[in-house]
Amino acid sequence: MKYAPVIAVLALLWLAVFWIFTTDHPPDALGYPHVRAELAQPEGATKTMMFQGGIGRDRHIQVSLAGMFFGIVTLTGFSLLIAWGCRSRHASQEIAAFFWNLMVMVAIVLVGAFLTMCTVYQSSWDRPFEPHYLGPFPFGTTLMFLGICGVPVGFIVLYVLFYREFILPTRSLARFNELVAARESAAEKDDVIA
Amino acid sequence: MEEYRSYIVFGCILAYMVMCIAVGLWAMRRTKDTSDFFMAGRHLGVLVTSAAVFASTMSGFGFVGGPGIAYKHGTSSFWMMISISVGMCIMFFLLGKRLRLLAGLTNSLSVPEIVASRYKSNRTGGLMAIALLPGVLIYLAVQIKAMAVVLFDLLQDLSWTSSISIEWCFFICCSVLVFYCVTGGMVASVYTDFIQGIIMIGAALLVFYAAMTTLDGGFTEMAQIITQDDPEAMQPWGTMGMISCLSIYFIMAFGVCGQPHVISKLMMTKKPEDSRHLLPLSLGGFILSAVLWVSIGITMRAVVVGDFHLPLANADEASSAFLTQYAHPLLAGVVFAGLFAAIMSTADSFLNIGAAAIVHDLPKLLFNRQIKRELMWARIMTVIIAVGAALIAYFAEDTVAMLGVMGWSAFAIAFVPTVALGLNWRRANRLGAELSVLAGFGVYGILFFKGIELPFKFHPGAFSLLVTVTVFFMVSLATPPDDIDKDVEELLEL
Repeated sequence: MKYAPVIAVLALLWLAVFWIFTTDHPPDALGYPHVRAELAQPEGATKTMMFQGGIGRDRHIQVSLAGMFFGIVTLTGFSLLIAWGCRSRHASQEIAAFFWNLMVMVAIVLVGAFLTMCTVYQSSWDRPFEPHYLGPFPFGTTLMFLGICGVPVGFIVLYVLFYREFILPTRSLARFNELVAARESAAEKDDVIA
Repeated sequence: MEEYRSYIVFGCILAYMVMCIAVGLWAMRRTKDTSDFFMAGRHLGVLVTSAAVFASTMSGFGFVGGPGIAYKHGTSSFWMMISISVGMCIMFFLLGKRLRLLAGLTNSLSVPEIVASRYKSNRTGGLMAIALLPGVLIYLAVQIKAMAVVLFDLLQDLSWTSSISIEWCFFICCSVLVFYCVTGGMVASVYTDFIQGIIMIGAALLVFYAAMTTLDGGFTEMAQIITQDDPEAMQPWGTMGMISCLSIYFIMAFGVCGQPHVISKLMMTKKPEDSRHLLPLSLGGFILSAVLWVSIGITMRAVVVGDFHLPLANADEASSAFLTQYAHPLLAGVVFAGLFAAIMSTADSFLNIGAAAIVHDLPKLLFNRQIKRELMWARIMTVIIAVGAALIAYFAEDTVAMLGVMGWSAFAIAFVPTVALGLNWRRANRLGAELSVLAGFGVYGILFFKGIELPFKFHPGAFSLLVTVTVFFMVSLATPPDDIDKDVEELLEL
């Protein structure tokens, strides 16, 4: 039971991979050389130097659910890994619930940002040449920068703020110093005997 | 000032190389034993270590290859970059504390030695050292080749150096790199990393400003130009598509904690609790320097598809084309110095861990012997590795670049389960560690060398890492746990 989350995440990741591998896609779904030949392969180029993606709906419609599933499981797995790294024998019990709730909230916001990005991207399929903008970039792309790249800052804030309570509590540090001292004195004894 | 552009760029690079040599000479006085040479005496401050962490993560790829892929594939390129934010979180949460504590307890000087202490198995540690060496040589060869080629291109623009051969460029670049690595070891490496990191951030911010002012409407206009040409190129998945981007995100983010040249820096801080400040500083530095990647990538794609600039015959020329055409000569000089800084900061780390693996780890872990006069041999080995890597880079040509692509994934397969997961899970055992690495390399080797393309261009490294982690967990759960030192066992729970 202790290992259930790990086994579940691994199983879901494999399920996502299987789902993706067994999904069909149109031949151009993974990009094709730019339709303007002088951009795709300019003079002096030995291979394609610029690609196009084409029509978003056509290339992603079949795999969008499998992709979203893979993305959610990946981000959930990463959040679990981060939570796993917070374990400490001497972690504070008084504010544990508060801390873990905050961790879960950051994870939910991260997955939420990913789902919003996917949804916003899919909503641009109807008018691909006139997407909604948020800042200088299309809405989905801005969410990629601010959401997928930006939300993990929440984990960093928790790491810095709760470092003494959960990551490396004072008692753990003191115990570490004791272990180092014990090893050094044992090594000295061995030297004397030798 | 435009007519002096080549001289200004050359002057900036010359000043940068002189600085590297000066740091090497300064660090020589602080390098008294192998602990200083391989671990900088384990007394580095927070600022220096954080700069070393992000400068090692952002290799020359971020300054040349990244913008090139953005030119070629649009926003798909940025998934490599944005993955580092969650990747660094995973790395610090899993390893920031534990690597430093275990290094302090066992007095380990390298990652393979940490593995040997964790699993109480010299064989497992030795295997890690062996797995490390080909990756070090190939990665180093790629970095040396990149430096030599960039220097060669720059010198062609100067009338009095245009006849210089590529062989001389190899020699100059290797000499500077080897000089400060041999004299100052890891001390020189991290202090040059610190200066290199500052140069990289400064260069990136200046490029951001120059890129923003390239077209009147700034990035909004560029995004619109790209969208009108091909909407997908400016949407989140770029031209490569959703699955390809997500699998790249998976291997890049999860793989950070398996990069030996990055994680070895976590063992060097003065106090274990320093990792508290390392995480925000390292990630902040990385994101600031990655601004260059985004700025140049978007700008060059926009100006080319908008017919403001001629198409590039080589996508990797995006950075140099931008700097030549749209940047002030002084800025171009700083950015080229930043490019050398990015390459050298990665190369010096590999030189150091390679020398540690041969001089320190292999004799100790596989033959239970310690070499006499280790510091002297470490210096000699640093020279030999650099010369070997330069020869590989010179003679192997395209094969090196191709193998260099493998580097990140190969290190992730070898070190993510064994180190990042193993240091957090008492139940992990040496059989699980060894079999997982073999399985991961087996799958990755077949996919890579047979040229098998997975559906939706799913990244072969991501698939192999998933295999590795699965084998690691399953074998460790199915076989009895190892008997390890009691204090190490307790430390894993601290």
